[in-house]
Amino acid sequence: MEVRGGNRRGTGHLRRVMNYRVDLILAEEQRNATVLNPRSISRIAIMLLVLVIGYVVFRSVYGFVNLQREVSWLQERWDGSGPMSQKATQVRDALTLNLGTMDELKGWKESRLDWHTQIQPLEQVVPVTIQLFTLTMQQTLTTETGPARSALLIVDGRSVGEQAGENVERLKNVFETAPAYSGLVKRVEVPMFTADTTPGASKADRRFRIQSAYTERHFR
Amino acid sequence: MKLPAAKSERVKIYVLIGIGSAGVLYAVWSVGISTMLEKQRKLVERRTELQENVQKAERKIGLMRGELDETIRTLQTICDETDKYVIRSTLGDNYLLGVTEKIEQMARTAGVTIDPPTQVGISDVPQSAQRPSKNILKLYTARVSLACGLSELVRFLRQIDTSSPYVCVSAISIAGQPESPETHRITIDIQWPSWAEKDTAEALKRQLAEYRGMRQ
Repeated sequence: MEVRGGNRRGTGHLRRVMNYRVDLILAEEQRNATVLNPRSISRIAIMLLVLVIGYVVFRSVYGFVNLQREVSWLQERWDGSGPMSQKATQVRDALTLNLGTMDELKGWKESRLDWHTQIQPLEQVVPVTIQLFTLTMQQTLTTETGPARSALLIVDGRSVGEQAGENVERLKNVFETAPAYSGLVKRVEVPMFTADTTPGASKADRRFRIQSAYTERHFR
Repeated sequence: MKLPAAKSERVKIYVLIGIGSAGVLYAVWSVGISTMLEKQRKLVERRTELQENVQKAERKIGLMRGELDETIRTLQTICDETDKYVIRSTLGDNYLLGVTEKIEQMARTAGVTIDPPTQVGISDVPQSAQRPSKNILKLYTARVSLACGLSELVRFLRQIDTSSPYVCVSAISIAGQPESPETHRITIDIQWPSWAEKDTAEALKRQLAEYRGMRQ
């Protein structure tokens, strides 16, 4: 036990007063009475840290478990829809292929030409002063602007009389402008126009060739 | 447990506890948390992948019914058209027998007399450079010769042209005959579609039956 004493001087007259404070607690047992002291702060801090770590760990584990559940649910959906999806892919591929085949069939229809409509007008339009020797039409398959049918119509003949040139020109115009050929023929030429040298021909008679190139008709 | 009375001893113990806790935390991190995070990263990747796959699959499945119907319609049209208009070989590679019958029928209808048709050959339709795809049809060409006037020829050509939307006159040669000005010597090349692969027609029918079965 420790006894401490002291005196205090008053003013005016001398007065001796004795004060004693008695500490009944040992020095090493003495504690700070304030709530906020370094020890309590550090305890609170440690508890908060533990709580925060615990919360983070809990959230992570909870999230992880949820994620696992979600993945396994998605996997089940995928396992269920996978085979059906493969069938759907197969159907789509087949559709693409078959639409290609339809295009091919359409191309066959669109690339052809009704030749009776091209020959028929010749019966009416060829003047009596023109005699046709040969008519040839040759169709070729081209690929320059995509697969297409391209035709060339060649007419060889003789034009008799003084108007031979005009008659050939008129016939050429028929191939250029007659409704049966319009939109189908892209170019008409007369690559040959010469004197007719066959026996019996007059000086004014001419041999000619008219060549009509048809517009390419595409397969696709 | 009581902590030692001496402050320096207590500090040592606190330091030891701190070091120990840090070690334990590190061990927990490296063994548990980081492994879990790594797994989590992989799971997130897998989830994204699965979500995309499932979405795509469900979209495809959603469209499948319509596409299946369209496939069946398309196949049916192809089968109907090709059954009617694509020529078939008889006894091996003989297409001529079949087309001779057709040509003779057309000639009879047009009222012209023809010579026996001959075979020119089978050729490929050129491929499109923009859309290269295997063609299922080839060109079969036969030649027919006859002697007739222009009106008869036009009638015969009309018969050929209207016999099929796929048949194509690929060459015509008309030569006048001085001894008989009203009658011309005529040669006509006619093209029909023929199968590039002989079993295509059967394969298309099998496919049609398969897709019909899938719809039910």
